[in-house]
Amino acid sequence: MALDTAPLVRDRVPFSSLPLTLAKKVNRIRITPMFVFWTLILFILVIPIVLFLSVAFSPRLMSQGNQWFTFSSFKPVFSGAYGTALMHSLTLGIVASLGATAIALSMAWLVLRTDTPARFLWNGTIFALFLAPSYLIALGWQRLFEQRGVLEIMGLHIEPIRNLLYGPVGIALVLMVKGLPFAYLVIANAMRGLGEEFEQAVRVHGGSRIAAFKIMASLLTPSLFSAMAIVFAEAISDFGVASTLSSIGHFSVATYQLYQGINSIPVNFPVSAATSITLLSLVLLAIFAQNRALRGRSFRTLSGRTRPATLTRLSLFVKASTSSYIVVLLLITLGIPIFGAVSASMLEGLGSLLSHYSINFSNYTRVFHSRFLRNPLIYSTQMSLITATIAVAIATIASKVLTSIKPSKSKKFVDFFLLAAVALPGIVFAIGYIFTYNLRFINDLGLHLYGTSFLLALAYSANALPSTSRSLVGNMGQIQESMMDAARVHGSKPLRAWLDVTMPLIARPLLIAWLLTFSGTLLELPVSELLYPPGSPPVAVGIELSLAGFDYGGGTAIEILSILWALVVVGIAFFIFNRFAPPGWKRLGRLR
Amino acid sequence: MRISNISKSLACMASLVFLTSGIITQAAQATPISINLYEAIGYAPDEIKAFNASQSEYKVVDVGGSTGPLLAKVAAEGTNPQWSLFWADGDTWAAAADLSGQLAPLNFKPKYNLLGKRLAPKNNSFAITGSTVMVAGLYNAAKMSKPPIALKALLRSEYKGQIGMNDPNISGPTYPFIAGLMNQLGSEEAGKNFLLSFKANGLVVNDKNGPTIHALEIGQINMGLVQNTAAIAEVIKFTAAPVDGFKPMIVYPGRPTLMPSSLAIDAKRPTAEIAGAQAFVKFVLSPAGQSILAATDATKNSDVLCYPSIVGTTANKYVPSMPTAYQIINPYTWGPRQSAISAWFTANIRTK
Repeated sequence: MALDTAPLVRDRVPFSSLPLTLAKKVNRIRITPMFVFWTLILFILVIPIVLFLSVAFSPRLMSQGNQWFTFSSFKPVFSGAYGTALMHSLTLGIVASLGATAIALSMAWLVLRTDTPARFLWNGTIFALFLAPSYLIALGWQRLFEQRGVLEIMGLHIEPIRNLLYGPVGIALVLMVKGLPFAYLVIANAMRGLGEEFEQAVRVHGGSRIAAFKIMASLLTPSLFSAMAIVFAEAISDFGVASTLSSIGHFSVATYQLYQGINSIPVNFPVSAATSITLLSLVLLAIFAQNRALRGRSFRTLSGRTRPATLTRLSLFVKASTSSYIVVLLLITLGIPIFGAVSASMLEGLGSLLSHYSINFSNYTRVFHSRFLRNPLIYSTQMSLITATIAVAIATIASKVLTSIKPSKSKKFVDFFLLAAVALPGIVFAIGYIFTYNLRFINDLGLHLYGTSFLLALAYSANALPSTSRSLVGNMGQIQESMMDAARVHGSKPLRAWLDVTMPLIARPLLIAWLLTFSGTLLELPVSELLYPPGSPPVAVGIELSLAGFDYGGGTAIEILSILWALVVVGIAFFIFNRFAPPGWKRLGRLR
Repeated sequence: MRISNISKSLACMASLVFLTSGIITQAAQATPISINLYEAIGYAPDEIKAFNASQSEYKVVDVGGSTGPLLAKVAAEGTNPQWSLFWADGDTWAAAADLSGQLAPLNFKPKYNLLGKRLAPKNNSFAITGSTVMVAGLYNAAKMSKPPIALKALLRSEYKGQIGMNDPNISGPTYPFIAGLMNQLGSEEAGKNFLLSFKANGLVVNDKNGPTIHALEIGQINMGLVQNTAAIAEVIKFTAAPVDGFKPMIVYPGRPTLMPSSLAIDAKRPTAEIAGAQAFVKFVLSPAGQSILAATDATKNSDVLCYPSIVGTTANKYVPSMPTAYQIINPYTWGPRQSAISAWFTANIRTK
């Protein structure tokens, strides 16, 4: 219960000779969990992003030029070619986010609410999908469709499809596939918290099954928008997939300009910052669309009385067709990157199925003793464990802020910076960290954070925060706050009330968010490459160094071993949860 | 609002950890003198290991990565650099750093061979540790019996759609090739016209060496213009395990450009660190440091496939003879033009 502390404040003696009003404000500051949250958001998210973007207007501020204030960095941005690239990025973002969300919604319903036989296949592989690097997805597509690739060797005439693939259609498809597991986890989490009573109400009142599905979809709106926003932001910040698949189609995207600035000699950060600002304008569009759709509506459906859903029994024909749908989707989403991995790490000879090839594990046996594998993987695992814990803790509060019913500036503020962190490519984000934590006056204070594991963990956490928060938004948006109020009225302290009331409702989503962050951090490259402590390269840097030495087979083998290791950790975490978590924590999402 | 003691304690602990970790990190780096080497050279870890074992006053710490991100890191560090040594392919970055007064010149005169003398800066502002060639024409001799050996031959209709190269915006070593092309043809304009004609003749542009070589392997192209170390690695691989229909060989169309590897010292670090950095450079250029080039297995570490720059150094056994004709471009002239030329490449060659 909130207390009026005004009399206490009035009795205090101002602690400095500052003007009374400011001193009063300072005296009012309390170290609350929200205060810690905002402080962290400020230092790990806002300041690094703002400092990087400020270089577009004031290169001298960060020693990146001589001018204190200029618009000259925006010159390349206002060219017609860049405008076209920006439109391309916008279109890619929209198509990828809509496609991934629509497929994820259908998959979540099939897997969680029906008895279609292939649903177990999907559940067992969802984290493998999440771990598949976009490099392997793009590589798999290439190996299938390229000239003299697998499909041509099989005698198929695929030139028209290839022309589509090596251009906007292929790029959108790969980005959609990459975004699909994330969209699925967000929507599935929310669907688990949605009881069956709403669908039953529709059916009781004569509504069709499709009408019931529509009601369910509309109750999932916050999670749908969450999924769309994050896939959109990921898509517009993509560079690797677009540059790989546009080599023939020469399809330009906005991030190309950004990387051009970074790869120049001398490096031209002001142009990259100006480009980043235009990318963020696209994020504003996404937030605007989301706010318009959700404004004034409540989606709080999760309470202590939420009834477990019933499994929908499908007819034999529908079972066959939905299972085929799942299998085809798995072949595309998981089969293609696996093929890419096999092609890159196990095929001897030309690395394709053209002729005279053999499949063996020689790259794997070789890299077991590589300096790029063991210690880097141990270090990355430790960092990922720490990062997942920090990120989930902050994301729990962030998702609560994001799902607040009251429209507030703080909500919009968090929303913008969380999406900005995704929409800005990782390398830009890491550069913002160097700008911030390598400032001479910070060093003079005795703080040498740059080049330490501590800062790397903070940067990883900030980088993971958007997706981790978004994965929890669906669930947090469903929780009825009256339950916490009731617990408090009955004498529970805040922490006890949270553990007794909220924790059981979000335990599984928290576990999934934790695993999502762990998996995403283990192979993270751009932030790792720029911020790792001297002498302690993470495994992603090891892979990069291996590939840079033209050891493509070895590099990919290390990547695959790391993915398998992440899957082992995911398996252990689920085992511990299912074996040791209190029964109440496991109730949500159970079917009758 | 009243706050719970637990929350307050947690918040205070978090703040303390935040504050003290930096101080602890600083203390941990006190002795021996720690020297950060930012490097994108495959055999640098071996040099570091050997150097650290050879003395106890300094400890060189490896910060490995790709050249592009490492240069971005250096630029982001700005006026508070954390690197003492930077070692990567190319010399345009070193020339740019020298021009901005960021480098401490070597305090000794390296015993360069003829190649080293031609490549080294006159003011001794950085060291040349070896050289590769940009570009080698890696071609499939099973399909292309007469590869183009002159620059203008690349534009002949018989090679239409058969030749690929890398994008200078993504592949760092490709810019020296383009700059060399312009230098060889007499002007930037002539070089641009050549590239436009090359494009009209079906030039295939891939990101970097890997994709270009793969395009050659699958027969999408019959010649890839790539860094010579990548080309040699491919020849070694298929000499050891031959495949019918694919016989990689190397030619050098026109006068290829030598691309040195440069090792530079940051002038803004403390004096003791600079002294240690000087000792490391001296070690790398010494017989002990140079012996690593020949002793390392090039099939696992292709960066040792460079032409030595120091008198008496034995090149790795896989390094072929130098191209009969080659050129050296002035990094102080061509370095500052990189940004504009790469942007032109994007707009006119990479984009439709």
